[in-house]
Amino acid sequence: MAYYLRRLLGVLATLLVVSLLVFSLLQLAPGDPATVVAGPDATPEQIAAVRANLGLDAPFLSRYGGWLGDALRGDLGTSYTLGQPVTDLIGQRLGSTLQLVIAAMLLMGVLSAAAGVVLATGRNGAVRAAVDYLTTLALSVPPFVSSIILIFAFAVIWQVLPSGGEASITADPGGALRFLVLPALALALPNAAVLARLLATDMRRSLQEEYVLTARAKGASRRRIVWRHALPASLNLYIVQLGINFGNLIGGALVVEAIFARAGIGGLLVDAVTTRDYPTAQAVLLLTVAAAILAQMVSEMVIARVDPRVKARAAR
Amino acid sequence: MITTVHNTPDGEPVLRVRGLTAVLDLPTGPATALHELDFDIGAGEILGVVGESGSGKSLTSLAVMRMLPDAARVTAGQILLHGEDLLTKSEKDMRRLRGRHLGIVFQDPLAYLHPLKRVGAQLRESLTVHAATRAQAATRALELLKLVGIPDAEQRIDDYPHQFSGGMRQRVMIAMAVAHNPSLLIADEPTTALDVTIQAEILRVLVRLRDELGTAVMLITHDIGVVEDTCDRVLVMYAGRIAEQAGTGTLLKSPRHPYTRELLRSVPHLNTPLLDRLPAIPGQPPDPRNRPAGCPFHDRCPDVRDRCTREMPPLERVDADPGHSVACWVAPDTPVQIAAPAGGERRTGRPETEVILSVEDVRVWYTSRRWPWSTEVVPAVDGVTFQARQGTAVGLVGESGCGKSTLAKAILGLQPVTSGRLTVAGREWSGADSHQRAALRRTVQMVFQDPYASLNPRMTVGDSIAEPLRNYHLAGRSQLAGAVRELLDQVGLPARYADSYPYQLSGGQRQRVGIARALAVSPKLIVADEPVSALDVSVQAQVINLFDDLRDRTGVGYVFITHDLAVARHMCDDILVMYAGRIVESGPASAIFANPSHPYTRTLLASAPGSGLTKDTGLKPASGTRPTGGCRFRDRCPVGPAANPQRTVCAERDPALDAVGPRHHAACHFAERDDR
Ligand code: SF4
Ligand code: SF4
Repeated sequence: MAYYLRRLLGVLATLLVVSLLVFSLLQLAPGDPATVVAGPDATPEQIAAVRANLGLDAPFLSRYGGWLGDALRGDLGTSYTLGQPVTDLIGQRLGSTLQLVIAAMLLMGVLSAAAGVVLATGRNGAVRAAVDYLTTLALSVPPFVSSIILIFAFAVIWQVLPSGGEASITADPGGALRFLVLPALALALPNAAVLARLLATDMRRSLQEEYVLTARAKGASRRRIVWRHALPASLNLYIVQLGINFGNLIGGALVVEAIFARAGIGGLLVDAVTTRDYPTAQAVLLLTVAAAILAQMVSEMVIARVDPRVKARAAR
Repeated sequence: MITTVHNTPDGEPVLRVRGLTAVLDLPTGPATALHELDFDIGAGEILGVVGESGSGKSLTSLAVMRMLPDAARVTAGQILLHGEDLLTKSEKDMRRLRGRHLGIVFQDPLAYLHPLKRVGAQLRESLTVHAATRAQAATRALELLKLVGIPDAEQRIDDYPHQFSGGMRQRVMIAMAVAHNPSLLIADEPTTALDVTIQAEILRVLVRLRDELGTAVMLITHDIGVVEDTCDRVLVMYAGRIAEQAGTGTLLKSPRHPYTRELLRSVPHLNTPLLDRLPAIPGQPPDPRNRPAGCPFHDRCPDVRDRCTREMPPLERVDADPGHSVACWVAPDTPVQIAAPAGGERRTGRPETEVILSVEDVRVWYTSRRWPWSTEVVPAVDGVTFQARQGTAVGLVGESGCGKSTLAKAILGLQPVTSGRLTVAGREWSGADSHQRAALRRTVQMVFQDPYASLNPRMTVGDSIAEPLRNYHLAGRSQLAGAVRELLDQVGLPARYADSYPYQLSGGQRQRVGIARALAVSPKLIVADEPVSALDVSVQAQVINLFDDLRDRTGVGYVFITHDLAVARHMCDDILVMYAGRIVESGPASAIFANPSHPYTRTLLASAPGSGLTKDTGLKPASGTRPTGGCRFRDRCPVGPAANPQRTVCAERDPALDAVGPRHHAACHFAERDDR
């Protein structure tokens, strides 16, 4: 129990540091939101009035403190440019991003596990070589390139899937899924390739472990050794990496959304940064970082459940 | 321990190996790893297989299991299990035999058990892969844990391997191996990683299973004492060949092969008179890549003839004894007696020399911090007092976790002491400034168990030895090469080794380099942690002699940490027996080995290999939590309150280290006096 409490304290401390970083980076960047809000023809007096109105003339630390205090109460401020509460803005767009990230996560898990096991233990040389080649390919292509290739292949040449846009998952689940396939694949492929390589390397190491000899000496079959001995032993590292790659997925999602013309929080962030809409930009950035950290914490807790050695340490 | 060889009803031994030959595919080309091995193991018989690294003993066991690594393959011969040749079986048939008719126990149970699976699940797997139902497997798994003597088996069955002690893990390995009452059980160095008391228990389990189940056992070991205690017959392997094969009694008392004879002479033994020097075998076991022509032992053999360098001697039956065969051209027709050589008590303490190490009531407590506001204190060393003098050797013995390694670290200044005074040649580590620490580091040096790990693999031997000379400005540029040559000479290595890299040396040579490096700064004290236990048996004696010589020549003092009591008896003037962070007995080696006073010392000696297994030492298993207040040993003590409830004083008062004889002290309320 103490272990989880300590972990939680650590996460909270990290979030605090991140919030300060996010806040100061944006506010210290050149450019003044007051000039944007006041419009291109505003006089210096008007700009000063807007600045006072937005509270931008207060000292840096008091601004940060005020924002943090509000944020802790669930008030992320009001968008300078759109005039709506930031929580509403995010709420409208979060669903789309979540669908994409979850779909990509599932694809990443399934593809990487299958490819990893084949790479480490596949007995058919041709299949192994093919998987090896494909992972290398996927590894070297970043999401924005894979997006374009996928659009070209499936939307332009074969025209089996839409090149962009989205549908409501509640009103039209089938349609929503059709819109999800390409962006989720584009997002998942490079990450899955990294994970597959990692899993394969670790499984090869596991297969060299002494306890594999014990299993053979018991009369266990090769298949049993792969699935019941080597894979569970390699799962640990895999889960950690899954948590870390989740952060990559979120980052990648913001880019992929733009390419596939999905109205997710990625677009919101891009607009907010270009127009110096501090409250919105801060909130979106903090949210994505928090999600990434949370994913890592969850993966660690999963490990603490599956690995008795970590569990023993956690129980102390 | 000699029992008759039972054969199976049809008179066929369980395992019959004929002409087994295997090659290793090395980068340099194929090399013969096993050469025409012939041997049998009968039902209920324990065959000991003795040999050094590269002798092929482990390869033989893997060949029998048909589990050779990819680089090795059998090229000729037969491995007959109940008359059926395993070498002609398909992999599928072998899978059916493994675990059912063939069981194997490996050396390091922690590595050989799956870390993420419960002990019970691993045990049940042994059964379910051979078509047992889940319910059958569950019942049998519990039965097996009880059979190998796991206390509270019902509770422990769902534990993970890391929750078991080393000895318990090895019991689990044995339980898995005997799950189906196999006809043949192979145990490959099953007790090497364990403490002596646990080693004795595990060997007792093996012997008992053999007796109860009538299993044929192949026990691979490097330890002659283990052979003496458990085996019916012995196979001595050298360089992939059988050098000699005989009943245990015959082999130990009247061996015929020069290698067996020299090996037996060179190993220190607890019950033979002490010698000034061990009769060491020169050289080292041959590298499998590069075995000499003719008899593989000829470059080390004292009896070598011309013929030996040209022709390989065949394994031939000794006329007088049908169970005895030997591969040697000149094996004498009359057996050699391993006579007790003359020369009684050898070494006595040398109290007249200068004290170089003084340890006064030293405590080392580890604190682990769970929360910023709470700490947990583990007393690793708990009030230890002793002295070491120039030119003498103090032996620290005790089981793992007794605090001996922590104490060694404190002496080396690698671990700050919590309280007490620790002075090396008049200087204290605590409170020393960087200048004084440098001076102290020159005074006390360390020799490690594994010299390979302590030498930089990318540095030549010469550079490794020169490093401390440079660091302390002990030799100028022009003198460096000369100084290195001199140090190599001191440890018996030719000067040309200065340009070699550690991987090009054998284990014994590397340990010599480690010693040369420690000697470079002319220390007054060397702390050596198990300095010979990683070495081949035939090489151990050489290194032990080297330590002896260096002490006589340079007057350096030693603190030896060792679990091998026979080695401690040979090398040390004084012995300190540690238990639970305290010294429970101290005194001259002669007194301690002749009249062990503390019950713990007596159990250690009774458990040492070569002392016979039939004696039950009465030692209770450790209870997990150490008792505090009173005697720390009382939960395990064979004569304390666990055995004699009226001895309540053991729990009430902490026994002090009181004199039981001249310079001989023991911390026990019921200690035996020397003049008993
Ligand atoms: S054959 Fe020759 S070299 Fe080999 S052990 Fe016998 S005497 Fe020694
Ligand atoms: S004091 Fe008591 S418990 Fe301790 S060793 Fe002596 S007899 Fe055993």
